[in-house]
Amino acid sequence: VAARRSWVILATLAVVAVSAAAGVVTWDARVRPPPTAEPAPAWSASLDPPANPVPSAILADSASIQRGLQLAAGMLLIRDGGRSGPWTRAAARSGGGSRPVRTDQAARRW
Amino acid sequence: VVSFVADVRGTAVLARGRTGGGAPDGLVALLDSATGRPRWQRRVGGDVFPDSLAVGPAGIQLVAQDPLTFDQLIAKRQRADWSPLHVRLIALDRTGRPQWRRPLHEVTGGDDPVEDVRVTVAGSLVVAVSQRQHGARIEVFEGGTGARHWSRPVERAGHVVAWRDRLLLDLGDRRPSVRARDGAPLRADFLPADAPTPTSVPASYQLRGDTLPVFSGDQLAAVDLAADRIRWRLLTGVAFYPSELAPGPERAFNASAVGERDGLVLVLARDRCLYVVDDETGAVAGGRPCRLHEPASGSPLVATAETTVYLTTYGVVAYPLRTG
Repeated sequence: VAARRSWVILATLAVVAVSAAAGVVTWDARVRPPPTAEPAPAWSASLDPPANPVPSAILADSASIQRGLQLAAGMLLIRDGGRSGPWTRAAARSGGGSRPVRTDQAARRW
Repeated sequence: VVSFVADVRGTAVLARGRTGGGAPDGLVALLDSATGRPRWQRRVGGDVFPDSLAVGPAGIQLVAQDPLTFDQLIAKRQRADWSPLHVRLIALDRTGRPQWRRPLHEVTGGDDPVEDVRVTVAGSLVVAVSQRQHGARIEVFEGGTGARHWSRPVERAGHVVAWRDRLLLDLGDRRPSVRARDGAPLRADFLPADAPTPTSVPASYQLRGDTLPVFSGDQLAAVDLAADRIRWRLLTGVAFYPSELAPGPERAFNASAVGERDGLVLVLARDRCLYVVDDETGAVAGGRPCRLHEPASGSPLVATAETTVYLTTYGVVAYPLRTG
């Protein structure tokens, strides 16, 4: 009799557990907003070589970038998430020029 | 490095400065904005300045300089070779045929090289603003022939917006407006007195009407240039965390991609949602699409009948979003 009672209790617990789980899943599905799919682009294009998906193609030249970083103390860091100017910005600020520089500091103010 | 401009005539133009192997080729391609397929591509040679690409009635303009790898440039400087890098403005027609090329101003001796150039089309004129380490310069050319109209130094480079017969110059701490054909000063500040501060004018913005959208912190404001007043302000209050590399909140409207079409101001904000705002009232259309690719800072945004096109970090992307 005791064994039969245990079985009945176990079966009851199992039914209750399964029902509760099903209820939670149903409630969750009702409450949680459906995931919004990312819109699919119509197309995308890049002129960078596909084998080089880094933001700037100059990064592929690792020897140059290493040297550039040493010389320019980080001036080669890509501005605006990948739209860098030519590396003359880095070179221009990396020293090495001793000639006097003609400037347009006298620019007239508008 | 890919540059991008587009116009509402259904074309998008890309340009590339330097390939992964270090070979600069100045590749320019014109794409069909509906399909993304190239109509043509052409090598113009040289290292293209990424912000120098422009398109207008006279065709396509961009600025390139002599190709040198970074190592070559360093070696050139170490042997005190100050020869110029021949920075030149190149014009192509809409079929990709070269039209003309003109040298941009370079300091004698080449010891203050041009760092960056931004090109803007103002009607039939082409405006190039070049930044060097020790100053900047504005040069204006005739788009059809390349004839030089005027040129003058300024202390800082910046964005140029063409409006009617004048240029609105956003030069950082000063915002004068000048007459486009001769550079005659017209106003000391083209923004009205009630404009929010600080204000940034979107880069590469092609103004078609009288409304200039400007950004200030977390607000987008519309300047009615004709009436000299702020027409509306849009407050977002949206702050988000762009990445682990840039901790701290960023306002959604800072440096967004912005464009306009048919009386609508289109702003793809840094929260990756496209805001479609009524030009007259500032009302935001409902159902804005989100989870789009993040725009490159200051990218132009062009909505044609079929697609909305802008620049991302990796290239150009087009969504089939109807905004009109």
